[in-house]
Amino acid sequence: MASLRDIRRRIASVQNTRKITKAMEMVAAAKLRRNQARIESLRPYAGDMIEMMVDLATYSEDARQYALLQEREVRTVAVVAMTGDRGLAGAFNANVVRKAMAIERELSDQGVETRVLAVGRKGIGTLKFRGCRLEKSWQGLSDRPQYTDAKAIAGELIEMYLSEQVDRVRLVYNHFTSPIEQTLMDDVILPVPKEAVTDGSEDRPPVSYIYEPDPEDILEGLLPKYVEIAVYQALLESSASEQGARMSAMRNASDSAEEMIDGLTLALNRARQAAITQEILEVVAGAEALG
Amino acid sequence: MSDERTLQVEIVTPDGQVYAGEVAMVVLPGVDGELGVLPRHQPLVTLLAIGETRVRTVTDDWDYIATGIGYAQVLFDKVLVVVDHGELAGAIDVARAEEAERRARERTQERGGDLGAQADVDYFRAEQALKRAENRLNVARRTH
Repeated sequence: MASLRDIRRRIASVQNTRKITKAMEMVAAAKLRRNQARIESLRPYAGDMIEMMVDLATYSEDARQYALLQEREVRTVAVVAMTGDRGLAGAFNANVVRKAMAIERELSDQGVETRVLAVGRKGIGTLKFRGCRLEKSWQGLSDRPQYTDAKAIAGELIEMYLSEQVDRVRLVYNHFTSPIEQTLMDDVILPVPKEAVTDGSEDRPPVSYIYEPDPEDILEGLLPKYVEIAVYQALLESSASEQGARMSAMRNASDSAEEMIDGLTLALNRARQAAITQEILEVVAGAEALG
Repeated sequence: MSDERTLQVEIVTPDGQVYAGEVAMVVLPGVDGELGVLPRHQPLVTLLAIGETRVRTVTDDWDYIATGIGYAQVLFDKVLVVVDHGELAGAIDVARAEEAERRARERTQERGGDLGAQADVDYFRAEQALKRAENRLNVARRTH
């Protein structure tokens, strides 16, 4: 049986761990709230922008072939795996990496080439370790993603798509369902899905606008924004999900620590009681021997 | 005076609304040149370039906002400006903007040297960054 001192030492150590996990849980909760607020502030911009594209697509007269809407025969696919920069968030990062690898295997079985890109230090590390050649990677932005980051990433993706290095771009990331639930997503962001910019405008009353330049040129100018918004939204969702996942992971860790402390305290009391009983027995036995 | 018409203006960016109010006139940086909007303007949709959006308030002051790429929609005396970046002149940190401009300028000069290399994307991007930085500075200096 462990000595009293050993047990006390273990309790102190587990208590320290619990302090850390509790603090991390609280930090994650605060960051989560901040990220949720940012998802909220993106909503009006994204909504207005997409509504305008739908209007333009509906009222433009010539059926122009927009480069970013063009479906091509799929020979090469870019898979963007979006993870966080830090670990200690449960299966958050591992899920994305596993999904990205599964997609790559599935595509290569169909004879489609893949290019893997990664966002987030954790994903970059794991994918490289598993022998993946990363076409491009970005890190250091999962904590506080900025729109300019999304713009840079979207710019690279559009460039790869337009120069026909890839025929499709898929984005794998965690969608923020609730603080304790993340849904793994796998979205095609290039070519821009046609239904995203053409659906749902029939019930809007037509207004005769002056367009400057004409609606086709405006739509062409705005289409890259769709990709930027999709990337920015994914970055924000992923960042909020990461904090949510970390919060749950740390809560579980704190609960386990609590349980361990309870068990150890019980063991400690038992050991102490046993020691006292032992001492009494010795005293009584000694007194009897003397008498 | 009471029947004088005003415009409702709203500027929306990915980080939320940066400007909203009841104003007398809006000047927008359209891709084909500046564009003034007064009350009772016809419905209009236009593509915006990186530039300065000016707003004349009802008290006859001017507000200056550095805006990025996006569009503006005018409908029934309401002007909706949806751009990827927007900063009120007063909120621009001049020192930081100068630093950003210097960096962007260096990069364009570095890359400008060998223009032969396949219609250089990096050069284009550096140029865009420079335009944004210059724009921020120009707008910031209007208030000083």
